[in-house]
Amino acid sequence: MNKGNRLFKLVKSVLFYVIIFLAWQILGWLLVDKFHVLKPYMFATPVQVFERLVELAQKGVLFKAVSTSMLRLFVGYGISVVIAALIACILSLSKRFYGDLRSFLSGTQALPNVCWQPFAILWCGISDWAIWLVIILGSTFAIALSFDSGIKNINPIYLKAARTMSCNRIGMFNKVILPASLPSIIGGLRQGWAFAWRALMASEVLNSSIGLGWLMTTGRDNMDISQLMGIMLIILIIGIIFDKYLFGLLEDKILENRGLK
Amino acid sequence: MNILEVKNVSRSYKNRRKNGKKEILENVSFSIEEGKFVSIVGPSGCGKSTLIGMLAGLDKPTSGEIYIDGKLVVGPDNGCGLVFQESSLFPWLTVEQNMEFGLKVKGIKKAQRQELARHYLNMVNLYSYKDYRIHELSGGMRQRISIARVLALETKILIMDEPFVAIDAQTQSMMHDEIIKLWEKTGKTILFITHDINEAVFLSDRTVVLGFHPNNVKASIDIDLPRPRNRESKEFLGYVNEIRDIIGRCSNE
Repeated sequence: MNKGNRLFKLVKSVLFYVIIFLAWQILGWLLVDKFHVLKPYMFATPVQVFERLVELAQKGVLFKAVSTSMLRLFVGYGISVVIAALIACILSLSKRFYGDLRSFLSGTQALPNVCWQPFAILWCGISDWAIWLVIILGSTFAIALSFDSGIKNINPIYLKAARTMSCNRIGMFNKVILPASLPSIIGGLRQGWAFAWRALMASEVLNSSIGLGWLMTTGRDNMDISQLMGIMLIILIIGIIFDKYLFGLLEDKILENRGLK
Repeated sequence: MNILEVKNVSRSYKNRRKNGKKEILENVSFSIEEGKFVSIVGPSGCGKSTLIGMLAGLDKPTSGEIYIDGKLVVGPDNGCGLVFQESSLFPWLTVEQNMEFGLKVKGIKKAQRQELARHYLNMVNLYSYKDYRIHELSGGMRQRISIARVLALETKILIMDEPFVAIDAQTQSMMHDEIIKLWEKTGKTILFITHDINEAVFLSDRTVVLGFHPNNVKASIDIDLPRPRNRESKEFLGYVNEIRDIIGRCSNE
């Protein structure tokens, strides 16, 4: 893509979002002010949302909420990944119980995050521990299953070729199994992140300490629709940044290198 | 001097359903002299791949022994380089990194690795592709690099398991010429497995005909023709027909 093309794409995107915000602003004016279809506490225009967010930022509340939530997420997600790797190792080593173990994990993974909340609160009370527990229960199994699928789906010819080149077991793992299953691993990490993010938000809304979820709850309690919609927008943006721009670009690069795109 | 000796090798598997044994190979014996190009021909399912697995040390015979350069084969590190039917080049590495993979495992230093990779890539005229990814290459190019990768390991024997079966006919013809050139240049012992009788007669000094068990080795035929060989000559077709008859007779047993 040459420079002219890139600039055109950028201008097109910016224009697209300008149109979206204009439409949103006009919709707000129509629904609340002109036709009185919605009450003022039900809808906020982009200008109102922006003003409220700036207010929160100036008070330092916004930064504190974002950093607290993200820290919880990194800790919970980090632990999930480590446990998932251990589970994947167990799966690859146990031949007899592999099928049963896999279906058990699959079934457990299907349980919606919300179902773990009451359980976590009874165990840990209203605290960060409860949030970490829900994140871990929500994302570990999905990541573990992806790791396992990735390893199981390696073309056996690569392992055969490596063996004929005198590769030992450790070398095989580092030099063949890991790189060969990397696309699946990144896919699993990406999916796990999405589950962890959802688990975090669900937990924070029910949990009453500082965070993005808490800001939404207080917004609801104060009937502050600008705050509520503003935080929803922030959550949306953070989600997109991590999923599309971090994991997405990483996954694309890895797939391109292997000619899978 | 026989670089490969196969002595009374048998391979059977336990058949869980019938509570008995499934015999694939029984009493297979043959030997190969150093520097010769020998092909193994046989119908699908007669045990060619099973035999190759054991020669490469990836599998153990139920009975019998295999000796390479006088040493008993007990595992993969035994002096055999393998080229497979489908490309086994690693898609996450470049051509040059693929070439260096086996050398790295052996602990060869970087400078020497690069030199070996360069030397053998030049031999197959693909050095200019050293930074390419595998998916950017055609089937024929991938097999040439697979061959170069194995040559770089400088093993005693080069085993090729139906390497050109997935390549179009035109490229196959080029690959035949190329493998003969490589053989003449390196003087390697080559064991070439194929189901294509024409290919076997064109390439090899001797053809071992394999069939179904028992006594899988049905015949061993010396191809006494000068190279380059003419696929249309009376003698050539004579060999092809002879082998075809032998295989036909086994199928009727």
